[in-house]
Amino acid sequence: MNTTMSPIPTARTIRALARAVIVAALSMGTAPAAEAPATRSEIADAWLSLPTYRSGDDLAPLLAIEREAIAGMATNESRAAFAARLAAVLGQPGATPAARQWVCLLLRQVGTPAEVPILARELSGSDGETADAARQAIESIPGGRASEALREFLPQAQGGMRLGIIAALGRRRDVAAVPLLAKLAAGEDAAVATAATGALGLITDPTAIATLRLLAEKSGVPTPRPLGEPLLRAVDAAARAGDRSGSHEIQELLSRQGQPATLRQAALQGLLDTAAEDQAATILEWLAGTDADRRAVAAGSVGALDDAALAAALNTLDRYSAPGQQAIVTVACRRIPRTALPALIQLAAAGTGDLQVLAIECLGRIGTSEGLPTLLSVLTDSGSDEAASPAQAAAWNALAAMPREIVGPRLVAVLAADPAPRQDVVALIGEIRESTAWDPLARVALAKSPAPWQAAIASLGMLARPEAGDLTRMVELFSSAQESDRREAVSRMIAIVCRKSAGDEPAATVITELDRKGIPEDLALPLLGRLGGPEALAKIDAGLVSADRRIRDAAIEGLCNWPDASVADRLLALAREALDDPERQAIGRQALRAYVRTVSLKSERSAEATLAMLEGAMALAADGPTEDRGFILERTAAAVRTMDAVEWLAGYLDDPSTAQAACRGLVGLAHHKDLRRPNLERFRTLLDRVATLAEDPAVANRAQRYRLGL
Amino acid sequence: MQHSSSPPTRPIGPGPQRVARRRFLATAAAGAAAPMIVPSSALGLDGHLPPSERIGVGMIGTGTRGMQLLDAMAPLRDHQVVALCDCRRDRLELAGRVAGQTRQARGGAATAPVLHDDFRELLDRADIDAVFGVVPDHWHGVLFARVLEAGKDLYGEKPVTRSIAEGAEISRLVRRHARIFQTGTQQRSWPQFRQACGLARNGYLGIVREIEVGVPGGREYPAVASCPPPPGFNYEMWTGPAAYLPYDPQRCEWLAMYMISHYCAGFISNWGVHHLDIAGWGCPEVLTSGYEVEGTGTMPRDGMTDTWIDWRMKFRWPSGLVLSFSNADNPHPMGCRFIGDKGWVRVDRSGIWAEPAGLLTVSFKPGDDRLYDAPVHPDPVTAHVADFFRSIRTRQDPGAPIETGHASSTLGNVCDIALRLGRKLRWDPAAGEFIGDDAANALLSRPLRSPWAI
Repeated sequence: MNTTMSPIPTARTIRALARAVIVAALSMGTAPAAEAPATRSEIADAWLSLPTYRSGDDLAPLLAIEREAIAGMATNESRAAFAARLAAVLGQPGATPAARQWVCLLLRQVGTPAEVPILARELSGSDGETADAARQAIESIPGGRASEALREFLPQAQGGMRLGIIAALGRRRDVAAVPLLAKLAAGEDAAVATAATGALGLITDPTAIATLRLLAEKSGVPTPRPLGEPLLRAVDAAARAGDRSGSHEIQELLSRQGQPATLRQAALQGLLDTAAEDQAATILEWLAGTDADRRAVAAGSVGALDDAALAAALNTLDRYSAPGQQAIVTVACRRIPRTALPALIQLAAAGTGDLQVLAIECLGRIGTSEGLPTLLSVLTDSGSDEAASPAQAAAWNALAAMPREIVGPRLVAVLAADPAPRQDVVALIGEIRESTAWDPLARVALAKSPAPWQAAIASLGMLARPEAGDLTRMVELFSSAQESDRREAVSRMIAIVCRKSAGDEPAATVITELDRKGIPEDLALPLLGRLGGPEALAKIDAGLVSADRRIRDAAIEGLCNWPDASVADRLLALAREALDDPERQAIGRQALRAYVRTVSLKSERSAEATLAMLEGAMALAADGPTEDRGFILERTAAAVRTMDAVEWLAGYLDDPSTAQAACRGLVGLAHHKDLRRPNLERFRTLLDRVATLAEDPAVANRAQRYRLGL
Repeated sequence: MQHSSSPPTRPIGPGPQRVARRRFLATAAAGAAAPMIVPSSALGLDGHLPPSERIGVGMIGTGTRGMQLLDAMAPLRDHQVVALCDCRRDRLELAGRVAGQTRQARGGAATAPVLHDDFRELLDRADIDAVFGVVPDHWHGVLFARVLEAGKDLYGEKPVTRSIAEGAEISRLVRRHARIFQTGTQQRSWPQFRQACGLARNGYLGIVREIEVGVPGGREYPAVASCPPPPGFNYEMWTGPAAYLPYDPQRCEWLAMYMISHYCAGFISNWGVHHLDIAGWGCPEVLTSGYEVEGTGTMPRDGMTDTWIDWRMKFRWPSGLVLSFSNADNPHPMGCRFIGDKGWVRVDRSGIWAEPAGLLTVSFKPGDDRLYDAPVHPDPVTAHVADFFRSIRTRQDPGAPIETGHASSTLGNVCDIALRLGRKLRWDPAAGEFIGDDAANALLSRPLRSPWAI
């Protein structure tokens, strides 16, 4: 038997090494946390196939080895064994570039100083990506051996590799490289010089700092951009090392007029941060000055003012420019809210533009009662509540953010005193859930227009809690409503409030209350339909056979209002029957739309079955109005996310009466990436047509986005 | 009241409630279009800010999220999108048309923004004050550093960076250059999340000792044959600082892109950051104090992706607080649940649940810790962008400043590292490193492909 070790591991040695790795991991009691390791044969196969890995191949063998890498990281010994085995692949003459690159990239994680020589050989390889991956691996390996390898290769490195090695030396803070980097930083090659100054900025030992200073002095003002960031790092490093004057001198240079604004502001920031006793005075002086860079830096530093200085600045706001004013107001609101209140109230009441808006926001954030009259005044003082000014919008939001116990009673008083309150006041009461406002809101809900009765009903819906008995009050409101649109709005709100609680109890409460109040069937049945459930259905069934046509119509409306698909068959039968009768077309359409609405709700039914039901509905709508067919197409797109649905909708692109709805439906389906991605080619064709056909620019725009994979 | 350690998947108690302001519903015609902050001194006759007073915006990355952000900022009047950048020409041109239409719709010139295919050109523009960095995760560190060094304020998508060390560097740059940074964790501008965190912060739940977080899990994708990139797609630029692998039609697309470790740590970080951030907003110690973390996870066994499909992680703080973090329904449902000794509240994007239910209508008192509030808008992404614009004007931090963004992003990255090392780790946030684990600390950074550097 030949006992000489071959540079190319055989399958047997690979398997032996794999076992060693596993044993090493298990012996430390550190089985991989991620998952069980691959089986021995899987591992063996993986190592065998690794050298022949090509880009685009399945990653399975590589992933198996990565799982072994996790085990390998358990101890220094297992890591060394794993890394050595991995690096050995680089020594295999037949290893593909993709395999070599992958090995190098994994060595970034597991490599040790022992792998540096073999990685260094890769630096001069013909495959640029592998060479760069080897450089990255060496960069990651701790210790002087890796730095030395990088330094040694630097003179012969060219192009991107040269830049990469320079950057690596910088990131490794390799002080030994400073003389070499200093030379390169002063050289003719701009890209190399930039990389070298960047590296010096990362190392920032005294020699590197001195080199950077020299370069800066030599180049004068403005400092070239590549030198800027390294110099700022040098400033900070010098300060950390206790060289305050050195640090100060560089910042003085960088903060001179004529320097690029970004560099100058950074230097000014540094000077301000290190200004000890007169920092506050400097901030205020800069804020009041005309130098835009200083004003910007000072505005960002307002937080450094002590409370007294901040309060003083707030009271002399006129001295400062807009950014300074906004900074002072913002910081004062957060830091000294009680002290700042009078000034903020004044600004909120009499300020202008963004400063007024900012002050209003602050009053909401502080949330105490002192700001309340001003906020209410801003909200209600001028203009129509249909077109809120920025200040009014801010006031509304500020009031909504304040504690309910402070805002609520005041709003209720406003509401009670005003026979025709503003819509935004009514909406605000709902927003803060002020439960004591029920009666005044109910009054507005029943008042004649232009009282904002819709807003009042919406707010009552927000306040209402089934467990608090509010459904009884909602039914009371329903029974008091005279106009049909108002009843309709209350009816919808009752259904919404019922759904705030799980179970049948809320609906049962409503039914009991409707009975108790003796609400006529023609009014009650549409509401009962919205609630759903067996009790409501029994009443609707009774209504459907009533001798009174009004009750029969109300029962049909109730059925059409049904909240789920449990009555779909009945709706379909009703639609078929009524559509055949020229005198009952309207009822037929109503039933058909209700059928489409309910079967397209989320359900356990298969997509195929739902699509078939909607196709059936489309057949019934064939002779009906265009909008009905459009409705069916769009509901289909919302309910059935399959390619069958896509193709079905696509068939309606050719018909001018349905093309726009089909366009909307198709972009709706294309929105779902899980559907679009696997069928991209088909979608591209369809979306191109949609982009051409769609009359709505928003639909065309969406089609173009989805076509590009966005 | 009982608090089970493994609650039902469907929350018990009342149904979900949305906490949303109705201001802009009540006054939709004016309110939705009204500027958040409008200096009247700068108002033009038409009520719009003149261009000279608007924040000049540049967007880098016009993919799905970039387009969403363009849509989100469209109702805000105090900015103007002046330039866009992407390495995919077709997407860039579409974004240019959309932004141009927005500009035209608000009465401005019909000209579209200037289009760039190299972000360095965009950063050289003097008319850009703020940049939206909406690029894949592997680009965040390099791009954000360049933006900040160029003196621009930055809305940076989450997670802040692909590696923890890059995040620390971005944090340093934000402060060194006195820039405004808004992390794209828009849940901080979402009223229901603010309500939930306010309840946790102010003792309405009693003492919170347990937090449960669930986010979408990872996904496997089959390997796809390599091919040349399509015309107009600068794949070299797309790859940037990540390892260069031959192009295929899947790797740069939703959702595979998020599942390949060269580009992203997977949803454990990319999605995890959202609800982990909420955990930290409600219990600040999550983001500010040291912790230990351990757990288990599953990797794909084949295909083209190599990040965690599912996971169960547990964080522990010295105070006794425990945060368990899993992919959705393994066992925690989507969202964040704070469990205190007097009640619990769970929140996700579809609603908020609590036990007892009365917690949902709590009105905070003047003495309560009032959490940061973004400008109100029905669309929380718009509110988050408006908050960014407000901060640019006040020069004060927005609702998701760099430090919280970085700390939240770190939570997910720490999980990834713990799983890749297969062991319990202890994290020291002040030092920004793991305690007593050199191998873990070596994974704080990821070397970058030449010539890219931070």
